[in-house]
Amino acid sequence: MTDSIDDAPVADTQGHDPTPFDRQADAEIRVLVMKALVELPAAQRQAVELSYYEGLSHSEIAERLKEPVGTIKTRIKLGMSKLKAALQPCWNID
Amino acid sequence: MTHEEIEDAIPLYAIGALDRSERTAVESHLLTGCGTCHVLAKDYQAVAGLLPFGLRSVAPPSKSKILAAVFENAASADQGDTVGADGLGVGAWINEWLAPFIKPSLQPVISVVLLLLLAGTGWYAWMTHRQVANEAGQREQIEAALHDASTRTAALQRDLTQQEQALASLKEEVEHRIGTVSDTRNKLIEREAELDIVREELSRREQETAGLRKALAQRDDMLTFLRSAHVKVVSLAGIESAKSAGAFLLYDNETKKAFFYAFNMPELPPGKTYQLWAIVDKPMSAGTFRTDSGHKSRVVLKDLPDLSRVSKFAVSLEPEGGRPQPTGTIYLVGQT
Repeated sequence: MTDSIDDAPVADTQGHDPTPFDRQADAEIRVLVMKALVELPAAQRQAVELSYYEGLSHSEIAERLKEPVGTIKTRIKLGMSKLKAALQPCWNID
Repeated sequence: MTHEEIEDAIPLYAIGALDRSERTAVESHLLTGCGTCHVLAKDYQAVAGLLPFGLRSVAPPSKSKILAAVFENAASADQGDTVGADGLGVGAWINEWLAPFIKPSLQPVISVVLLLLLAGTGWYAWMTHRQVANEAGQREQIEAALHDASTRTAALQRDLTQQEQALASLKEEVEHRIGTVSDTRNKLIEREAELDIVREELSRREQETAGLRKALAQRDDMLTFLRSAHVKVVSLAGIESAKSAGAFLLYDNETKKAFFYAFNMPELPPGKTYQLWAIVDKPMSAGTFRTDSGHKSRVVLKDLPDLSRVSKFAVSLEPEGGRPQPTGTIYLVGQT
């Protein structure tokens, strides 16, 4: 359900008639982000996704996964740190 | 919150993972104009801004597709009752069944656990089956061994019975033999007794035979004397106390032997004997004799004096063993 909601803005952007350069850049960033996410350890990726895509706080994630809050915080921090390192080229392009 | 805690919290702040109070604390800190944290927050917000690119791009559904989806849902809802659980795979069935109770994120774990449980139950059932089969096999072996043992015992008992019977028959045989031996011994004793009797009889007969031989010899002697041409007969007559008594003497002048025969002689008193005297000039002993049960006596006399020199023969009663000269009563007297 969340996917379909998030798809809507993408459809909206397509509606703004982007240039072929924009499309190419989007495609490259998409590949980079997907690759960075896939390369994360599963637990860290899960924590990041639950937080960002589902809007849960670290305590809510901890409650859902039956894990300590500290563990969830550490996973999110490590995951974000790795993503930052992996996605550094993207905002250099920007 | 300390500055380090703020720094640690910035990545979570960037993707909205902080509680309200934490978020407020971080925002207040950023408003103070901390350059390090500001740069850090900017970087992490950039990362968060890129995260939507990680989502799969899905084309927007067309109207016809939406309608088709609606009809499909309706159709599956209709078939749900008729198709039932048979149409669902294992995972789907578990999801369907557990969905009301379990959070969707835990369903794969539950599935795995259930599968493990199922496998464990199967393994336990298989092990139990094998164990039961083993026990049945062992029981059969034990029963077979028991059967063998009972058969052997029966055979041994049979042998024992036969041996006891053989022993009993041997015992009977031995008793029978003992009886036979006892009988034989008794018979032997009887025979020995009989033998003793026979021996006595034989001894008696031998004595009789000896007596008879002796008598026969005396008869032969008498016959010899009677047949001889040189024999002369001298008669002796009883006198006084033995008038019925008498005797005769057959005298062979060549051999100087005589056969003396006396009869109706009075019974000898104990310690006494008769003595025959040949009277030449004076009485000469010619021998002693005793009488038998018939008051008779037969004696062969030797070394007698020549008959021509003898005038008389006389018999007197003398003490045992005889005397050189007559001392007792004269019973018989005869002239030559």
